Amino acid sequence: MLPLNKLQQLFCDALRVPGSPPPALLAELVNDGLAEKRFNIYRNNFIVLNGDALADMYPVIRQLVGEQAFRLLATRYVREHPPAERTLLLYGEAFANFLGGIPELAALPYLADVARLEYAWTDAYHAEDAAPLTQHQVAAILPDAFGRVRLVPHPALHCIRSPYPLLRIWESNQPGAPEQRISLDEGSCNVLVTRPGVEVQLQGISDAEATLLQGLQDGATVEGAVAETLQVDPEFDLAAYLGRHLFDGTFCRIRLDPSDQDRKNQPEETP
Amino acid sequence: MNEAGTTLSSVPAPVPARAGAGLKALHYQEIIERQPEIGWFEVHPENYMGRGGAPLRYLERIRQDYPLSLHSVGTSLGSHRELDRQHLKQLKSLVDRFQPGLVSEHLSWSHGYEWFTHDLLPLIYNRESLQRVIANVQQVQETLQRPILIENPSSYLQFRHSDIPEQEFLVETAKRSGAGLLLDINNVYVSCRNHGWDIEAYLAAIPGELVGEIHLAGHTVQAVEGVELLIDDHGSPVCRAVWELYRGTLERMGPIPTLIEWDSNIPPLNQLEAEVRYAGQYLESLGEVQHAAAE
Amino acid sequence: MKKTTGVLIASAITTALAMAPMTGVHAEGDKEKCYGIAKAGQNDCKAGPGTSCAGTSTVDGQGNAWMLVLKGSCEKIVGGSLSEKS
Repeated sequence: MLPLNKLQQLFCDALRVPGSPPPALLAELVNDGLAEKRFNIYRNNFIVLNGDALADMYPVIRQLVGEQAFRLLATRYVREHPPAERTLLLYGEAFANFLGGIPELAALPYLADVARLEYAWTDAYHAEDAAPLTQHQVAAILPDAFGRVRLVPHPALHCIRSPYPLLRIWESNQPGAPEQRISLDEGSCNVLVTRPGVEVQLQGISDAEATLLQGLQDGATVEGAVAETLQVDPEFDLAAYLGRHLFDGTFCRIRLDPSDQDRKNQPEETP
Repeated sequence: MNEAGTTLSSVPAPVPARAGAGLKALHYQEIIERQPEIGWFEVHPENYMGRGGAPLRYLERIRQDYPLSLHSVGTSLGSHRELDRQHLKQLKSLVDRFQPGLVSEHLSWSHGYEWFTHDLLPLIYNRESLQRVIANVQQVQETLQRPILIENPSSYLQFRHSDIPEQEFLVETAKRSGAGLLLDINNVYVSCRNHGWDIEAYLAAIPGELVGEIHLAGHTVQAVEGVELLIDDHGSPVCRAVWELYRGTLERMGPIPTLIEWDSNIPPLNQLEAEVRYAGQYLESLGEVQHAAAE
Repeated sequence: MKKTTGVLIASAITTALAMAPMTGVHAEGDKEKCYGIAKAGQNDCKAGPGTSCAGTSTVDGQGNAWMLVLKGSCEKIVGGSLSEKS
C-alpha cells in the first residue's frame, strides 16, 4: 500500500499522460475489470474542464482555428501547462507563447498576438477596481508643474503592440460581426485595453501614443515620456492624446515628483 | 445541528430551510431585474477570487436580496500537501465581505503537486487520510472562525486499500472536527450505483443532526462494456429515484436548506426556478406533515 | 520644435482640461444595468464528459490524433509576407 503522497502523485502524473495508466496506479485501484475505464473518467475531466476554461479565455483563437483544432491545442496545452492557481479565472497565461511554438501555426503568425490581447481582456475584466483620473485631480496641478508628475496606470491597463491589424482581427471575430476579409498588409496596430468602470474597452492607438504610454508605464515623468516620444515622432500631438486618454481609464492617479511631494507635505519647511 | 448551529445562526443572513439554486453568470441580470422566487443562492468562492470587476459587483448586488452560501472547490481537504494559506486568506476575506449563511467544501482533493487539477479527485479512505482530512478541516475552520460543511463526493473508482466506508469516514470527520455535513443525495446515488454500495445503508448511517445542507442535481448514464456508470455532470433535471431518496431523507431529518445544482446545459432561469419550486414543495409538504403530526 | 517640452506640456494640459466635459468620473449609468458583461465563472464541481476519450487521445505529436486541421475564420485573413512561407 502506498502512502497518501505517493498515491496522489501517481494519480496526478497519470492524468497528464494519454494511453494506459501505469501498472503501479492500476494496482492501487479496485479491479472489477473496468478500473482503467473508470480512471479515464477523471482524465477526461481534467482535460475537458481545464480546456473549457481555456475556450472561455480565448474565444477569438477558437473562432480563428476552428473547434476541432482548438480542442487539440487545448489538450496539449493543459498537459504541458496544468493550472498553477486555485482559480481558473486567469488560466492560460502561457497560451500565446505556446501557440507561437506550434510549427503547424506558422502560417498564422498573428495568433500569438490575438492570444495576448484576449488574455489582457480577461485580466482587465478581473483587475482591481479603481476610479479613472478626474479633471479635479489634474486641475489641482499647475500646468507648469505637470511635466514633473507621474501618471499612475490604472490596474486594468494593457497595451498590446502588434505588427498585424490586431484590433480588426479581434472585432471581426466577435459574435454577430459581419464576415470580412482582412489583409495582414494593413499593417501594425496597438490595442489599448482599459476598464474605467466594469466594461472592458478596446481602442487603437498610434505608435507614438504607445511609446508615450510605455514610458509612463515604466515610471517616467510626463516630461521624460514626452521627450522620448517626440524623438520617435516630432509631430506628436500631445494635446489630442491627453484629450482622448487622460480621463478614459488609462490612468487612475497622479504621483507628484518626490521633491514636490516633500514641499507639499512639509509646508513649514525650515529655511 | 450540534455546536455548529449556534455559530451559524449568529451570522446576518442564515440560509433558510428552503430551496435555493447555484448562481450562474448567465442568470445574473435576470435575477437582479426579476427577483425570482428562489430561497437562496450558492457560488464557488474560487470564481470570485479576482481582484475586482463585474463578478464581485454582481455578487454584491444579488447578496443584497438573497442569502448566500459559499461552496468551495479549491481547498483540497484530502490532499497530502499542506493547505494553501494564501487561498484560505482569500476565502476568509470573501466570507467577511459577503457574510454567507453557509460555507462548505468537498471530501476530495485536487492539489497533488505545484499544479491543480480543478477536478474533485477521489480519496482513499483509511486512517492516514482520515487524520489528514480532520486536521485540514480544523485548519480551515480556525482560519474562517466558523464551522464548515463537508460534502460527500460523487466518484467513479475505488482504491483497493480503502478500509473505511465513505459514510463512516464522513461522519467521523464531522464529529472529530466539529464540522457539519452537506449531503449531496445525487452524489450518494451516483457513487452507490457506480460501486455497488447499498444506498439505504449509506443514508441511514448519516445522522440528521449533522446535516446542514442538501444538494440535488442531475446526472447522465453511460454504458461501459455492458456496465452502466453514472456521471455527475449537473446537466439535467433531478431524476425520479433521487427525488424519492430526498423525500425519505427529509422525512427522517426534517427540513434542511436544499440546493439545485445545474452547471452544464444550463437552462433558462425560469426552468431552474421550476426545479427549485419542485424541491420547495417537498420541504413545504414536510412542514404540513410535521404540523399535522403535532396536532 | 520651437517650444520647450515643458511649455508644450503646459499648453497641452490646459487644452485637454478645457476640452474635457466637466462631468467628473465616467457616469456609472443605470444602477440596475451597469454591472458589465457576465463572463462565466470557471471552477465547477460538475464532472466533464464521462467516458468519452477526451483525455486518452494521443496528441503529443507521436500519435495519429495530432492532425491540426485549421477550419476557422483564419481563412478570411490574407496577405502578409510571413504567409508566403506556407
